[in-house]
Amino acid sequence: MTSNIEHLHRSPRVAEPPTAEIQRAAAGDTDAFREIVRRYERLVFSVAYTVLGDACEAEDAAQEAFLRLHRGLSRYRGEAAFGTWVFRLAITAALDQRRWLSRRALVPLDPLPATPQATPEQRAEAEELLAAMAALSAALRAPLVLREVYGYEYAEIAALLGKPVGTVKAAVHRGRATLVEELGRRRAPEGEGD
Amino acid sequence: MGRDADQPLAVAYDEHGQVVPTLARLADLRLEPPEGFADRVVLAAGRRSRRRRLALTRADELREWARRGPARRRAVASSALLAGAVALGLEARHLRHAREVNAA
Repeated sequence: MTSNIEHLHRSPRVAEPPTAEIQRAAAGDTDAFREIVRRYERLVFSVAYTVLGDACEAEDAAQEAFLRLHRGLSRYRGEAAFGTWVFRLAITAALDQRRWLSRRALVPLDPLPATPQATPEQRAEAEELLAAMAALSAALRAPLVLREVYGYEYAEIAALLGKPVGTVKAAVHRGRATLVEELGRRRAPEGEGD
Repeated sequence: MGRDADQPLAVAYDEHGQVVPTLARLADLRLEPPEGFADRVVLAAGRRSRRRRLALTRADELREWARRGPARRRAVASSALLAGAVALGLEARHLRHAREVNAA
């Protein structure tokens, strides 16, 4: 059901690897696999960080995504774009990692990882959004990220999270409200809004 | 606000009431993974492949053992039946011989 709406996702703008590189990696060529990891590591790590909100957890999830890719390479037949497959692996590995975590909100201890392709303004905007998103519980964050950041349909999110569509819609709605409130609180001058 | 539920989320407004950042912009964010990430992934993939190959080899051995097991059992049973039949034949021959001796 999901494959026909993949194109709606705000998925990666990363150049596809040459077919020969994919085939060599599938045949066990370590250098070819390393090239594929390098090509997609920023995308996969960023997706994992946005879903999880923590650099250490995101690294674990990103590694798991690439290990699943490595295992599945020999079965890849090119039905979907390679980047779309990588993106989906990143999302599912992050969601699986999230299931290991507490339902409480994660409070990142470290600053936002480096953003080599972003302007200072884009970085500041991302820092503000991600800091405010730390106020969300994992149960609200994942549906909100899938819907608002990556443009998934509600039905797809429901399938990915194993929850009813109504529950997902409610979580997205509550996530939005919480986030707007948190951003307002952060932008209010000191002493206001208590 | 009257915002359509399917429009991207507007998370804040500036001093002129204009919508500022949307979460969709995070889709373009590219974060740098920790130093040496790709090499660690390649090492982990190699380890996992070796473990998988080992597990597959063991599974193959188990399958082979399971496949051969019934045949071996059948062979042993056949041998036992044959040995039993031979023993019975010998016993019958011995009894017949004994009767002939007694009769004589």
